[in-house]
Amino acid sequence: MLFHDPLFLLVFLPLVFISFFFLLKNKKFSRIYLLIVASFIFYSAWNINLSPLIIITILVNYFFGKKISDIPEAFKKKRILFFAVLFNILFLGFFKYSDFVITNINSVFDSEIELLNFPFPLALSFITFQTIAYLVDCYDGNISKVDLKKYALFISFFPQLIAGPIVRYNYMISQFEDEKNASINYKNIYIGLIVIAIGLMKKILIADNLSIVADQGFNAGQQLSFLEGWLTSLGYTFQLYFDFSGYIDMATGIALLFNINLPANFNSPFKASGMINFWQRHHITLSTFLTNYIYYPLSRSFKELTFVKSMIITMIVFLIAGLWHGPSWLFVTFGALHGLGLIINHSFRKLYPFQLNKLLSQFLTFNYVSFTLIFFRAENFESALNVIKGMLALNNINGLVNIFTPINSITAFVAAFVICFLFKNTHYIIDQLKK
Amino acid sequence: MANNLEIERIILSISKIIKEPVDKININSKALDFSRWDSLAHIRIILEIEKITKKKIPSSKVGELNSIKAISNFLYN
Repeated sequence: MLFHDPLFLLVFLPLVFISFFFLLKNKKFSRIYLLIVASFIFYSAWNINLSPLIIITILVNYFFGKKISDIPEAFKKKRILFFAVLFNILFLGFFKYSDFVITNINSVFDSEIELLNFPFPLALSFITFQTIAYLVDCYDGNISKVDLKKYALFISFFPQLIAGPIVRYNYMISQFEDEKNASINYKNIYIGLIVIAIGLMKKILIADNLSIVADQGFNAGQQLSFLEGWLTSLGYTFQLYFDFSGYIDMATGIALLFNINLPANFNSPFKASGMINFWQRHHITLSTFLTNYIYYPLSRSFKELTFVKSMIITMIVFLIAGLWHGPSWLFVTFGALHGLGLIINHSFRKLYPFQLNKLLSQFLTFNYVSFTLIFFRAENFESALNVIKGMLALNNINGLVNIFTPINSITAFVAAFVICFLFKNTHYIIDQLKK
Repeated sequence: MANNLEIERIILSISKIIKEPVDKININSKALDFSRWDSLAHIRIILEIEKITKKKIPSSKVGELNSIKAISNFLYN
């Protein structure tokens, strides 16, 4: 069940909404249970066989969280936190990366170990990061009382279960517990519906039409021409942004119907004037997690933090971020290129006191990000190189041979460009509407 | 009084780390106001605060201390 699925929009969401505000009025605990059950139905609709994964992770991490909170001795707390984080990484690794590891072992050692062929563990990557943040919060004493039903809702809340944004426990639970949020809020419904509509338009009118062009380019068996290379790369760059930010808009709007504010995840990333600025604007909750829970702890583990050490840590963080996106060397390459971009940006700042012209910085940043996304989308390195060769006019083929660009896709290109570079973003619109 | 002195020392350190004149930083300043207050500068600021105040800042709080007010609230409230 997707957010833009009629079954979700016309049946599931209205049913949950009516039950939440009308049938279970003044029944706080029942409302929490309703959201948990609805979230499990939502998740099971993707693949019912995967539901035990979420149930296991919730129960085990509830136990870990409780242990960490209850034990007074700092050393024991730290030890349990270590095992809890390790458990979560191994759990994700087992279900998401087993076949990747086996394939690499087979290719290095010429062995024939059979693949496990697990179904893709949808949402588990987001859940793992959210869980680690929760466990650290338990360790730091930020969570006053560990409660199974609240924790289950925090992990499974259906608007942000599948693709984020990654949220903190106290941020969400304080909103669920606020009695004001139990009553219907017509302004939030009005804003929520507008934001859902924006998200739907981003997804259906722009992302889906751009995917027609990008898919043809990445799947072309033939060499791509200069124009085709650029159409493929830019088409995918805009497609990914409108797909993901459209999804996040819908999640934000749906959560708002239930009076829950999700944190902003995008702040016009293509207006970024450097790679540092790009990661302050793109997938903000992921970059916040990476910074808070990987970059800072690694940085603080050094007695003396030099610039070179910081850059090595930056690269490690982005290699992890790349691999987190999926079990493939292409994702690792994507992460490495972003790490490299950040190192160049930091080095430039350190060495040169002046700043580049803003428009030039934006142009360079956008094109570099667009280049890295070729590796994010391509099925293999051959396909990625085909697009890059086309962009560099190395294939010597003119015009459009492999790619058919329907009028809808051309319109989507123009709309994507105008919206990304000239328009305000969804969170600005939400803030204005709330005033 | 002692708190004010510490905050002044923290502001001075921040101004050195992010290479901004000290008079441009005050209690209302935030990381977002300065392009050079990035993740790299932030971790140096945190280490500097720990050195000045001799307090260990928990991991879950490091990212939240992204303004002078947040730093002040965390340290003295």
